[in-house]
Amino acid sequence: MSTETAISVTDLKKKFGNKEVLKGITFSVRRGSVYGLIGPNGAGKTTTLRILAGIIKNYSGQVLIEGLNPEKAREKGMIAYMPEDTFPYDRLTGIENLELYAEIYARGDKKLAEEYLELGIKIANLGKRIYDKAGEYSRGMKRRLIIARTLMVKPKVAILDEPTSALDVESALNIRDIIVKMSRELETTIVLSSHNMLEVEYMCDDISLINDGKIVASGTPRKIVEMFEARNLEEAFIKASKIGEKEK
Amino acid sequence: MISVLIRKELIDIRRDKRLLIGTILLPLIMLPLIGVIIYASVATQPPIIAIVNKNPLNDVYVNYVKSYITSHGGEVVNLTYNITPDVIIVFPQDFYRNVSNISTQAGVGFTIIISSNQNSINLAYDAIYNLMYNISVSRIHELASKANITVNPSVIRDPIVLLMGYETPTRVVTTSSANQLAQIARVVALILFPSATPVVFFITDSIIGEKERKTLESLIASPITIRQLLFSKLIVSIILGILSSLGDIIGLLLFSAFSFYVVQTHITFGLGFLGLVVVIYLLTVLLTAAISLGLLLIFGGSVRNVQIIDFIITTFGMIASFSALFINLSDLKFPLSLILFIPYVQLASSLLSYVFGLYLESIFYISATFVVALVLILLASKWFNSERILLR
Repeated sequence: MSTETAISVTDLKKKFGNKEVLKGITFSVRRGSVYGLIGPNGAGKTTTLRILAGIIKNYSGQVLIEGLNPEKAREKGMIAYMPEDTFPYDRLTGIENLELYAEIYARGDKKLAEEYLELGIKIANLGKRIYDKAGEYSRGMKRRLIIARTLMVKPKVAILDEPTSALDVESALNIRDIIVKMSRELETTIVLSSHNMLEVEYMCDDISLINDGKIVASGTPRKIVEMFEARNLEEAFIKASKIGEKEK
Repeated sequence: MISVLIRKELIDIRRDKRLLIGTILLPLIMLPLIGVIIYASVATQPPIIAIVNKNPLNDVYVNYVKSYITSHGGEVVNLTYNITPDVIIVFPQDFYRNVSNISTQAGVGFTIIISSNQNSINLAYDAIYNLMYNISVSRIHELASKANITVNPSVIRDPIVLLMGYETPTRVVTTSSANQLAQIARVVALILFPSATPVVFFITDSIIGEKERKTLESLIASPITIRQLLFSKLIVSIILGILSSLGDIIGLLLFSAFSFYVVQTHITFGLGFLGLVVVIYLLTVLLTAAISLGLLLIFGGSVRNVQIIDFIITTFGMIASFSALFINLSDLKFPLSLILFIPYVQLASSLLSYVFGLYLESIFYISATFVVALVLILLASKWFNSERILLR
C-alpha cells in the first residue's frame, strides 16, 4: 500500500432541493488501501460514493480522483462502481454480462477486453454456470458476478456500496475475500460503505464514521475504537451516531 | 462504445420473445384483422329486416321488397319476440289503396332499431327506394297514356345524370381506384400508431426499465456517456421499427391480396406508398423517442411518470389516428390547421397528402417531423445527465 493520496475530498457539500445531505465532508484515501465509509441510513454514504463515481455532478467542494475530477476519471475508465442495489442483465448470460463491461472499459482494445474477461471469469468463479443466463443465478452468484464485473477492469479506484448487503454468511465471506485479495493483487484503491462493523474491521485499512452529512471520526479501525473508548467498532459507531444526534 | 451497447440490447431483445412477437406480429395482423372484422360484419351478421304486412292486397309490393333484400344479402323475418331485427318495415292496411291511386301518397312504416347495423338501414332504404322508383315510373306511364304522349319515364324520373369522375386535390384526373387507395390510406394511418405500440413503449421502457431493473447505475458509472447510452437505445428502437414496419408491409400486402374477398374490390399499392409507410413508421419511432426524452426530462423517470409519459404518447397517437380517419388533413383552415402541430398528426397527414397527389406537402411533413425530432433528441441528450436520469 502506498502512502500517496489516491482520493482527496475537501469540504464536500451537496443539497437535494432544500435538504443538505452532505455538510462539508473532508477525507483522503491512500493509494491501494481499502477505505470504509460507515454510518447509519441516510447519513450521506451513498451520495458521497455517487459523487466519487462521477454520477452526481452538482456539488460544492473539491473531489479529486488521482488528480482528476470524478467525471473525467470516470470517462477515462479509472473508476468502477458497484451500487448497493444493482443486478446483472437477467437475459444475458454471466459471461455476456462480463463481456459487456470488459468491452466498455477496454474501449476498442480487443486484447485488453479479453484480458479483463479472463480475469472476470476467474473472480466470479461460477464454473460452467457462467454460461447460464444471470436471471437463473442465486443472489450470491449475482453479487459475485457483479463484484467480478467491477474489479476485472483493474480500476484505479473501485467504489463499492454495501458490497455484501442481503447476502448469506458464506456468500458475504466469499465476497469479502475477493475484495481484499483483488485490492492487494491489483493495487486498486477501494472505497466501500457498510453497516457491518465486523466486515469493516476485517477489510478496511482506514475508515470514516459519517453521520447526518458530516464525518464524526476518521482513522484506522483500531484508532476509532480507542478514540471512543469503546470495546469494538460497533460500540464506537453507536457512540459516534449519538454525537451526531446531540448536535442536531 | 455505442456498438457494444447496441449488441447488448440486441441480445437482450432477441431473448425477449414477447417484445419480438409484439413488434413483428402486431403490425402484421392489424390490417388483415381489420379486413376480417369488416368481412365478418358483412358475412356473419347479415342485415335482418322485419316486414309486417297488414293487408294481403299489398303482397305484390311486399314480395318485391323481400326479393330485393334477400338478393342483396339481407334476411327478411317476421316480427316476433325471438328475433331483434335492425329495421322494421310496415305496409299498412291502406297502402294498396293509396299506392293504386295516382293522386295519393302511400305511407310505409320504417322503424330503425337504435344502434343497429348501418348496412341494414341502407339495404332497407334501398329496397323501399327501388319500390318507389318502380311505382313512380308506372305512374308516369299511366299519365303519358292518359295524355296520349310518348315519354321516357326514366328521363322524367331521373332528369339529372351524374357523370362520375375523380380528381386529386391538385386537380389531376384520377380513377376510382385512387379514391379507394385514399380510403385505405386513412385505415393505414388509423392503425399505424397502434401497430407501432410495442416499439414506441420499448423506448421509454429501455431507459427507465434499466433503472427499475437496477442495471442503470452501474452502466452510467462506466466510461460511457449519457449521449452514447441514449443513442444506442434510439438505434435499437429504429432497428425494431424497421422490423415492425416490415410486419406492417406484409400485413398490407396480405390485405391487398385478400381485398377482393373482403371489400369486393382489388386494392393495389405502389412501391412509393409502401416505402412511405416504412419511412413514416421509422419517423413514428424517432418522434416517440424525441417526445419520450423530452417528457422524461420534465417529469423524471419513476415508474408512475413513465406511465404518464406512455399515456401522453398514446393520446397523441390516438388523436393522429382519428384525425386521419375523420378529417381531410390536406385541406385544413385556421384554427383547425393547428392540429398539425400535434405530434404524429403530421405523419398521418403526410400519408394522406401522398395518396391525394400532394407530394410536396407529403415531403414537407416528413422533413419537418424529422428535423423537429432530431433537434429535440439532440437537445434532450444535451440536457440529460446521470443525476437527472437516476434520481428524478
